[in-house]
This record gives sequence, structure tokens and C-alpha cells, in this order.
Amino acid sequence: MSVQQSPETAPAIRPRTRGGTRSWWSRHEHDIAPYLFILPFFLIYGTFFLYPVISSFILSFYKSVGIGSRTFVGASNYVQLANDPRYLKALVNTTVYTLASVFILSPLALALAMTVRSFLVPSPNMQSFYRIAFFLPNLTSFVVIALMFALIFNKDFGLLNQALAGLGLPKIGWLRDTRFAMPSIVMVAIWTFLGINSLYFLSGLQAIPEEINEAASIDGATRPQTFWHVTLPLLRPTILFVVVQAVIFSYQSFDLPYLLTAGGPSDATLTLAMYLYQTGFSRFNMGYAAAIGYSLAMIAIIVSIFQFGLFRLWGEE
Amino acid sequence: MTTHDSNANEEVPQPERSVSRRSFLRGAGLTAAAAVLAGCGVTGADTGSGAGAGAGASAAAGGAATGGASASAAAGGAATGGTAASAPAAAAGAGGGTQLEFWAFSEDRLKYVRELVQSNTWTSAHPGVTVNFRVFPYNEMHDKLLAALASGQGAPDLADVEISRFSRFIKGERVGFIPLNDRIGDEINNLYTAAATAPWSWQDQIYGLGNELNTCVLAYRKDLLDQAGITTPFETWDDVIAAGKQISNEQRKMFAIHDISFGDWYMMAQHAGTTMFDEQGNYQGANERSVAAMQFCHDLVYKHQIAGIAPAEAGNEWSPPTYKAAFAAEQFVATFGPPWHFGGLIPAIQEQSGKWFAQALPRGLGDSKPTANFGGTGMCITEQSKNADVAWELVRMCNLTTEAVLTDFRIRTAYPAYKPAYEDPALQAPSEFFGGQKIGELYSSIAPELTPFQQSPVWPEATEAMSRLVITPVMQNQTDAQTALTELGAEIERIKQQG
Repeated sequence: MSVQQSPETAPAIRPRTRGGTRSWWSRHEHDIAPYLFILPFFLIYGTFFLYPVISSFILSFYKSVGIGSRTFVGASNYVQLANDPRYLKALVNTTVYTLASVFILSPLALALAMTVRSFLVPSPNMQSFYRIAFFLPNLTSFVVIALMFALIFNKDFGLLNQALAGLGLPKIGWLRDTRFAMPSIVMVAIWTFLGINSLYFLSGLQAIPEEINEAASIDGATRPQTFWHVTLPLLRPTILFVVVQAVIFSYQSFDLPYLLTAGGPSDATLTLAMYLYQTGFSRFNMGYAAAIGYSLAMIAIIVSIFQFGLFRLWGEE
Repeated sequence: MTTHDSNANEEVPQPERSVSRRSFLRGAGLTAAAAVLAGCGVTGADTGSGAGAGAGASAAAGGAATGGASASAAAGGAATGGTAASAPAAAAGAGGGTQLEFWAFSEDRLKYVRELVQSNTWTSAHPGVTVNFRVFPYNEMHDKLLAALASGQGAPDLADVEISRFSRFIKGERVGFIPLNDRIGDEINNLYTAAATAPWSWQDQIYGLGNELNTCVLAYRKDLLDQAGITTPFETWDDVIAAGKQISNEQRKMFAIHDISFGDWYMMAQHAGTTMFDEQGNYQGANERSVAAMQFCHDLVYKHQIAGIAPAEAGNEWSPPTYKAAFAAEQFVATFGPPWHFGGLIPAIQEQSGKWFAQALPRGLGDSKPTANFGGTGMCITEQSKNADVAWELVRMCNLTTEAVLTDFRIRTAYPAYKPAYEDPALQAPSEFFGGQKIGELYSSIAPELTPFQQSPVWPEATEAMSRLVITPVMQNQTDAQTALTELGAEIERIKQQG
């Protein structure tokens, strides 16, 4: 229970004066205190977010290579991006990875969630088991996942090629062949993120009242009709969330491709984040790396806005 | 419900609230100040390199790092007054409490340095000098070192810098390491400079010193060749190819050629008499001899079919465990490379000890030089070091003393670039692994033929582009050597313009 006091009575109750004059703090305490309480957040936000964001934006207009040199070059870093074949290659690779996340991973996750909710898994205990099992890859370090799949994909001793050899098929350089490297990375990403995305869809499905499905059924709707005309529209917020976060995180993809292929072979799996890292921290071309970073942010923002617009249109329909 | 009297009820809560707020603000201020101090403390532990703190911080960094030599740490703990000014005194044996921070990327390579620091030679000459070793993964160490030098703080006193990574430090206005020319002095005449100083030199200044003589030789399973009635040593590459065809089959190939690392081409190009850059730093990789070297690697796999593609991994493109396992399983029975290459391979194929034989590279490819220069690591003293004199003492003892370089030879068969060491019987002793062959004689006989290293500020980018645009496409049979090496020239020009 709070205790209120009027400013008029405060001096009488709480004399904090020296020689009869209220101190500066006493006079401004009530005005300043709230700001002091929120100050830590803004200090941390300003130091660790706002300052780097602004500083890196400024840096993107400089040529900063090696130790001790920094020259203002205007927008030439951004102009250079358009003519940099490695950047464009990384952009294409990252977009392919993102499209795979949206059009392969997300539908698979939805299908998996529907399966767990369906008559195929009637027992609540088994549903809980699957929920936990789906989440397990998320508890596993990317390094461990990469090590495990590097062994599975190994051309000479790997599990996959042993299986292919058993079928009389030739060995495939899963992570070494330019044609198979990106599909292999996508496969690992699907294994890693399928579970957590299924959980998102599962929670969305659980939020749909059963009565609506029953009503559709009573009205004569078949299962596919119920899915397309009832379930899917009601899942729209979940789908929007899953797709938007898939796009944002896919465009930031770094760990798995870096650990599995380091961007190779021949840049077949080079992502924008990896190119940014190589440019900034291996070549120490910080200005250009900052420009890559801002281009990455702009892409993610534009695509997300487009998606929000698309889903709004879907909602209006 | 309180039972205070009315007066107390009127007055007590208000002061409590006011004091509480003040206390809170005061407490928050104290906490913030403590956090700042704690932060400073952590920084101090990280860079100040107390033996215990250094080891702790290293452990926190992922367990890859290892603490400094405990014996030295104990001595350091008792000493005081280690400053830049006292460093020469420490070097002379009178200083105390000097902490040296040493960053490295290879625990194997560091073994001889650790042994040296714990030896009487070092501890008696430098009582109270503690060396804190920190071992990071290869890429991370070089990236972290570059970042520390660029930011002006956090760099160690000295660091191992791998040959391909040095040129990343020469791009800016300054190099970040201190020149060693004057400190090396006349000892330069005792070095095979192509291996010991050239890779860490820029604009006539020597910034690093390496101890390894990376003379490349051809080595093979002599027992298998003898069984097949093949005469060795080989005179020409045609002889090698003929032998390869005789002993290669579906399960076994003579060589393992890399498709994501430029090393095989690099060695063969030098053997043929060319390098990637000329003396002026211009790309010359599309010349006839370079193309012939690339074509040679390609043909070993696809035309002559005596080589397979080497097992390799991202981050360990040269000799990961699977590569060594393939040699252990006799999937490959010959290889060419420098001593460090064999140093890494030999422990994995110990059961083949005595069955291998090494020789100079045969004739038949370009200029047919008997060897090539591949790899190497130099010790560099950073400009941020406050103990540069003591750091130099360590660099000197590791690279310019027979005791140290022979220790590295004993531990990982690294042949020294320090010429006086070759007078030691240890280097002339028969090698058990190479069937009693006096391999030291072989290395020292071909060392004068080492190709000089041609430095370039875009060396790492060029070699990375080489792997990307030439090695992988050619070794995966997707393009021809001439086209790929010509395209590489255009890419290197673009890289130079990009900066």
C-alpha cells in the first residue's frame, strides 16, 4: 500500500534543511527520481546498442583497412556492394537458404505439429514426449550439431555415403561438392530448427477452439476443407511469426555454414553474415563490413515489411 | 496491521520511504561503481597476466588455453618491479615479476617453447619472468590479434603468426609489430632467410622470426614400391606416375591431392620455378609454369588416376584426422610436403615406421627445383608490449639457439632454419621412421634451393581466392587450369582495388 504525501506537508514532516533552506535534492527529488530509476536501461541501451549502431553506420562511410588507417569515402562502400561478385553470391546463397527455411522448413514444421495434434498421437503423454523431443536440438550447441553432421556427411567415412554405397550408389561429397553443399546445409538447418518451429505451430493449433472445428464438421466440411478454410486462417498470426523470424534469422545465418563448410567450396555456402565476418574480422576492412551489415539489416527490414503487408492482405481476404 | 501510535504512524513511514529511495540510489551507485571496478579488475587479469589469473582467464576462454609454466609462475610470484624499464635488467637475469603474454594457435608447435621456458637455460637467465601461454584456434587467434593491435589495447607481448596470415598486418599505416633487424644483427647470416625471416618481412623490415625450415620433399612407402619391383629413388615425375599406376587401385592411390587447399599447387609451382607473386608483388600465377603445376595436380587424379581427393574439413583443410586415418589405412601411400607435414602425419602412422623413404622432388616439371617452401610460423613482438626486451630474449632463445631448435626437432621433427644447429649430431642421426635414412642431410642439402617468399598485402585474400576459384573448380574437374588461373588474376586485381 502506497503512502501519498502532498508537497505542502512534506517539509513539515521531513525537515531536510540547512539553515532553514531546502536542499537542491529535496526540491527536485520527485522530478528527478523517476528518471534515475529508468536511467540504467537507457545507459545500457545507449552504450551497447545505440552507440554501436550509430558508430557502425558512420563507419560504413569510411575506408578502414588494417591498423591505423581510416578515410572518408562517402557512399562508395555501398556502391561497391553492387559490383562485388562475392557479396552478390553471398546474397543469392542467403536468399536460397531463407527460401528453404520459409517454403520447406515451415510447411514441414506445420505438418509435424498437425501430426502430433492428430489422431496419430492420441495419448497426451506421447504428445508431451514429442514436444520435448522437438525441443532437444535447440538445447544442443551448434558446434556439436556441426561436428555430428560433419561426420555423417563425410565423403569417405560418413554414414550417408555408407548407406549410398550399400545401395550401390556412388559417394557424394556432401559438403565438398559445390552442387550439394548448400542442400546439405539446408538439411542440417531443417533438422535443427524443425522442432522449435513445430512447437510454435503446436501452440497456435492449441489456441484454436475445438468448437470451431466441430462446427465446420457439422456443416459438412471435410478434413482438408477444415484445414484450408478454418485452421490455416486462424493460424495466420503464428504463421506470420514463424515466417518473419525464419526470414530474419536465415538472413543472419552464420554458425552452421561456418562450422560445416566455412563458406566453401568455392563460396557455394557463403552467407552474408559470414562474408561480413570475413571482411571485418579477417581482412579488417571495417568500413566495408559495416556497409555489408547495413545492407543485411535493410534486406531483413524490407522483406519483413513485405511479409506483414502480404499477411494483412490475406487477412482482409 | 501496525500497532504504532498515531504520531509514529504519521512520521515513520515517510522517512522510511525517503531513506529507502536514497538507500536504493546510493546502493545502485555503489553497485555501479563496484561493477566498473570489477570490470577494470577483469581487464587487468586478462592483460596483466598474473600467472593464476592468466590461467583462469584462459580456462574461461574455453579450455583451449593453458596457463603459464608453474615453475616460472612461482618465481614470478616472489619477484617484484617488472616494468618496461626493468626489462633489460630482467633479461640480464636481475629483473623480477615480468609477465610475458604469448598467444599461439598450435599446441604442438608450442611444446618446445614451453619446454624451453621451464628449462634451466631460461629460468636461470630470467628468474621471475613468467610466460603466460594462451592457445586459440587458428583463425580466432589471428583475428583477435589483429583486432587488438588495431584497437590499440589488449594485444599480447608476442604471438605466433602463421605465414599466410602475416600480410593482414601490413595493410594499414603501421604494422603493429616491432622491427627485429637490429636485434637479429649478424645472426641473419646463420639463417635460411627464405624460411626464417622473409615471410614476416615487409619493406626491408623483419617483424618476425621463424625456426622451421620448410623444405618440401617427396616421401613414399618404400616397402610397397620394393614389393612391386619399382626402383627408387625416382629420377623423374614420369617414373613416379608409372610407379603410381602400378600400385594404385580402387582401394589405394599413391597421392592425396587437396581440393579446398592451395598447398599442392603452391609446392608444385615453386618446384616448377614460379610463385603467385613476383618481386614487385604483381600476380604471375597465370604463367606457363604455374598452369603446368595446376594441370599436374589435376592430372594425377583424373588423367593418371594415381591420386585421390584428400579428405579435408572446413577449418582444417590440410590434414584433419580423416586425412591421417586414410594414410593409416594405406588408402594413400605417398605424399609431398615440408617437415611439419610429416610431423603431423607420423604420429598417426607409427605402425608404418621404417617403411617410408624421402627424397628431393624429381625432375620433369618446369625448372624442376629439388624443393619448395611451404608453411611456417614466426614469432612477432607486438608494438603494445611493455616488455619488448624480455620478449625478444624469448624469441631469440626459441629461434637462434641450437638447444631450442633441436628441441622442436625432437618433439615434432621440425628441421631448423638456424644453420649452426646442423652441426649437431642429432640432426644428422638416422631417422627411424624413414628407415634409417639421414633425413637431416637431405633437408640441409636442398635448403639452399628454397624459393624466396614473395610477400604481398593481399596474400591471404589471394590464396583464399586461389582455393575458391582455381583449386576447387579444377580439382573437381569443372574447369581447366589456364582459365581458372587467368580468372584469379582478375579477382586479385579486384581485391587490391577493394583494399
